[in-house]
Amino acid sequence: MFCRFVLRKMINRDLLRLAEDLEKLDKLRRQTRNSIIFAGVFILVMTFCMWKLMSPDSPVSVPIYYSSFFIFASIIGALPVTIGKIRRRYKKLYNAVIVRNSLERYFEIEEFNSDYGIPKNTIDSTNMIRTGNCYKTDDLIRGRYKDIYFMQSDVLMEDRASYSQYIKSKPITYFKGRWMIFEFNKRFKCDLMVFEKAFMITGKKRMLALDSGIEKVEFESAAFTSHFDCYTNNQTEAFYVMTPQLMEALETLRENTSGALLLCFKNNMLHVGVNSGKWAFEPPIFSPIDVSSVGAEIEKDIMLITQFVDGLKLNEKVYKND
Amino acid sequence: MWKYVLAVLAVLVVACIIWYIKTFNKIKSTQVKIDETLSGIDVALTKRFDMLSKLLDITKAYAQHEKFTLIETIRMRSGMSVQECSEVNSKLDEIARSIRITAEAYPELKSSENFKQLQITVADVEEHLSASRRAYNANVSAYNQMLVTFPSSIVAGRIGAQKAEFFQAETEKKEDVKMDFNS
Repeated sequence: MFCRFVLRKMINRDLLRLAEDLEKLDKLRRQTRNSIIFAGVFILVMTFCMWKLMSPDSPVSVPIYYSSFFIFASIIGALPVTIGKIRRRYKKLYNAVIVRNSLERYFEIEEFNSDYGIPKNTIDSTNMIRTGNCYKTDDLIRGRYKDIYFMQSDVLMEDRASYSQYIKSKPITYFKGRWMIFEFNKRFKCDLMVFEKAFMITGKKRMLALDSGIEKVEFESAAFTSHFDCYTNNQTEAFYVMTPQLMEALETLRENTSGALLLCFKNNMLHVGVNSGKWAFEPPIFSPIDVSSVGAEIEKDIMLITQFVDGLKLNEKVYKND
Repeated sequence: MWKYVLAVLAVLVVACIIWYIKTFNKIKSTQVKIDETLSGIDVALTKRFDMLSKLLDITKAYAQHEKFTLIETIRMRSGMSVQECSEVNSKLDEIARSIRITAEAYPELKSSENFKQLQITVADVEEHLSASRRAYNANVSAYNQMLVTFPSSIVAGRIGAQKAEFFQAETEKKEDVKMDFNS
């Protein structure tokens, strides 16, 4: 009787805390949404005002025009910082209240932080693709799935517009999506890079950062070769890593994943990039938080990690004498 | 007018020379790759031989099998031909199979820690051997294609390049595919 009473009390307390958290979360969501709407309206109104002030029949003198332009520009400069701050607070709470619980159902989480992600030099060290002059990353998850160590984060790599005297170049996005690193189930002595042809087709071949000793390698599977381009510095070791079973599994993963795949086998680790153009575990801003639909979305994002471990059978360490 | 014709001809001749040199170099570099991967097979076979010898030493303490004596007939040396490598590999396959059969009959051998560790190493060595064989055959395939397809066959014919031999899969494995519908 007493136990049931305590249990009920505990459940009630947990539910109450969850309800409070959800309320806080929705408040922050609304704040974020309002700040974005406010910024949009403000920019529109101010642009209209500046345009009116610029007209020849405007009664405003030049110094006033310039000072108002300066104020306008400073406010526009400050807006992203303010919105970013609110959004970060919202995302942090969303991760703590909603995402973390889902992650813990699948993984042994060692670290989950929305402020930073996989460092730039880790991706640079793969010598796979250029990371550009603008590198953004967040939502670092480090942990274990079926006793396989992994880390993942959202990554954006691009070269932002550079202004020279005459030429204004457009930003070039090299990669936008998720980057995952897994412990591989074999020890190998080569670098093997695998690019899905869909990634190359979008004119990104010039964005590769391959070393000079790296050569193209063709495997025996015609289906695999028709969808992937592979480069290595050791052909025999590349064949050791890329078994017919692995090629078949990669084919299946390619079909089930939205976004071009990039894989790099290096230092006994497997790097996987999914160039989907979107980030994972993003909270809704303009629609209310519906726990079931948000949960389904998070589950989908989690499945991307688990399907690589399961599909490539990374947990089967048949050749490792640990 | 003649100037232009001569210029076009000169460009064509230079392009042909460049293409000839490139194709010649490609054929030669593929030959080098074939030799490299063949030596990779050599190394992997030697490793497999060493590992199986160790495994055999442990197995012999439990039981004898008539195939165990096969190991004494194997003469490992570097620079073996594809045919020789294939023969050695077939013999090693037979030994590995007989070790597996013996281990099945002696559970205490199968559960021995030393035996288990060696089996993992042997499996890894076999995977390396399989990779070397696949890499070798991929190079041979690319090389033979160059020899028979036009226009690279012209260069291959001029330099007297000969078709390379594939590393054949073990006969036992081929036999496994046979199906008996009579029984």
